Amino acid sequence: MVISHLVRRTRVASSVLLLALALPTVALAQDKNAWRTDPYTKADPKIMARAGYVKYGPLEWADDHDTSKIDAMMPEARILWLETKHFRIGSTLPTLAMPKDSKAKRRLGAELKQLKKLLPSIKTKTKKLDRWLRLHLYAQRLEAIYADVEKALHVTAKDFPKKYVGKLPLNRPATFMGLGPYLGMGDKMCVLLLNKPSNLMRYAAKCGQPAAKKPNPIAIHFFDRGSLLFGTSDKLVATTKDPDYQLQAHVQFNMTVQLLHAFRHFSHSLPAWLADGFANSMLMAQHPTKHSFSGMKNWDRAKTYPGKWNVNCRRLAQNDFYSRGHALSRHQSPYELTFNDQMCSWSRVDYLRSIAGGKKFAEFVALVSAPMPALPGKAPDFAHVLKAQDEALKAVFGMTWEEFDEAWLKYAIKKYPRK
Amino acid sequence: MLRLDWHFPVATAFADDAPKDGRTSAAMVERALPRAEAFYKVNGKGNKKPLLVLRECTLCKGTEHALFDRRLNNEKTKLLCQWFYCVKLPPKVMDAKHPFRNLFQKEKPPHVFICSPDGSNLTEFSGEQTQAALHKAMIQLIGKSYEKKPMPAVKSMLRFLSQFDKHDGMLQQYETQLQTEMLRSKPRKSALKKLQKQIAKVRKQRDTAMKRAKAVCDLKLKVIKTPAAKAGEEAAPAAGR
Repeated sequence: MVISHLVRRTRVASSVLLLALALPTVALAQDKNAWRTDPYTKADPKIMARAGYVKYGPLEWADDHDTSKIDAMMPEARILWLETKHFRIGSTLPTLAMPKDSKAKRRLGAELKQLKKLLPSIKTKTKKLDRWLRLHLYAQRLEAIYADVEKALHVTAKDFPKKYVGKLPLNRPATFMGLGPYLGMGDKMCVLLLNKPSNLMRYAAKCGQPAAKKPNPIAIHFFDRGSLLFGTSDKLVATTKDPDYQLQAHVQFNMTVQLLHAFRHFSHSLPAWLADGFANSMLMAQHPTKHSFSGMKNWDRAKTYPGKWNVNCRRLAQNDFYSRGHALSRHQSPYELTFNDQMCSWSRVDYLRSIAGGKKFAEFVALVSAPMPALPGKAPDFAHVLKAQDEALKAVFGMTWEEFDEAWLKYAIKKYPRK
Repeated sequence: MLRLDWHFPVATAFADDAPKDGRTSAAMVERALPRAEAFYKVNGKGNKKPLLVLRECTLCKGTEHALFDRRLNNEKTKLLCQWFYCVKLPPKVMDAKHPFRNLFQKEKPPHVFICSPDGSNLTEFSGEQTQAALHKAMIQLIGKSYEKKPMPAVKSMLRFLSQFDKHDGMLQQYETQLQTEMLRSKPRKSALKKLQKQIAKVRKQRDTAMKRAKAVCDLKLKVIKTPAAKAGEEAAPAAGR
């Protein structure tokens, strides 16, 4: 009896010991993957639905790879993945201390308050923005950009096919709105925010993109899925002063350019003045001190270009140094535009958007984004885009480029401040 | 001139990893390539320059501290790097199955190494090497790979750099002045013309200096065969991490 009791006790003790030995290993494994769990939603479906989140990683991503393959490619990067209503986002942005500048603090505080409505566990008075919090902020910002672009183009989700209809047909009617529900694209936009530019470049190479001479933001069209990717790194827009704000403006500008190209399905690039002008117009409406470029002649990325574009455009108009509409509208690549061209592009879009509450501008964009004749498997010739642009200006605004110059001159001198 | 053009090679694209239509085989399994094939892939299209390979690690966090000295002026190192095909590899390259694992064979893998395109004439560095040791090895390898000696070119390039700094400074100043003049309420035509002339003159001077600098930098690569992948070669086991 005593012996059997002893044996039983020993067995219990040994099993407790084994359990105790096993626990740290399990805990260690859990700890190792703890970074994958969002501390603000804890993957609770109710909270996720309230925040508009669809899924965490692994996510479907591109034609020939999903996010687990990207993870395998750069495991040390520890990418956080999040799928929202219109975006799939991957981020390795590091934890950032809250800026000390009071303006920046107020701006971020307002954003966090907005976010707290969706994610109640967020602290609005935090001293640092951790990795997950930065991802949530970007998810909120990206969805806001999507809504703003929809509004500016005077379209809603109802205007596009409900489901991805597959391959791009060769003959598309004038009413063609694209192939899928995301402004005409078949799948959600992919956004990759990486800390290291080298990882971004390696990813681009792995996607079969030609090697770039130096690290640059990347844009890739995944044909089969019908989605567009924008990837960048915070190091590419490095600044000591409020780095998150700089990156936010950079992402907002580039995503606006991307969404504009996605409109009615991306099958040709838009004239540079229209894409950059529209993106700066959207950016400066919310952040008047910020501007950005897709490219520019003699562009020095380290240089800070002057602000107050409205004052500058007024002076350019007055002094007869403004970029003429016809010449400005002919450029396909933004690298052909000078700084003055960039300012004038913004101002011209600003003027066009001021007519009839922006409805006419939306019509104009719709016509320039309309399907262009192209040979199978080839992008349309840019000459078709230029022709469509000239016709759209006449049809929507009733102007030639010279008449546009005159109308814009009057607008710039009347509306923009002297100082 | 001091900007380094890094290359970020990958062994295969995602599209190559995926199973092809009509084939029943599973996705390609990642494996360490034989050393010769790894060098072939790392070299990119038709590279004949000597290689400079920097292995990133989790501690360096994407910096180039293993190559550049944080306390010293790195102008000379950057100038010497111009005659190399500079490659950055990810920290994951230390995984036994990484395609480029066999570029690093030793138990203590180097942080940086320089070699000929086929992997010969190898010199390894731990990342804590002195600048003098690095320069010595780089100059030796450049001497073996190019027809002309690099030191006279480096010396004249250092002189050109101060000229470029001067030109850049002047250009920036004149362009700012021009922009300010254009945006004045009443721009002075004579000042505008003068500034435009000055800008054109400095640009011309800079272009001429750049042409001369490029000519000085052309050390004439020796004709050597680029490494070709040996089909039947087996993967050498990667030793340690």
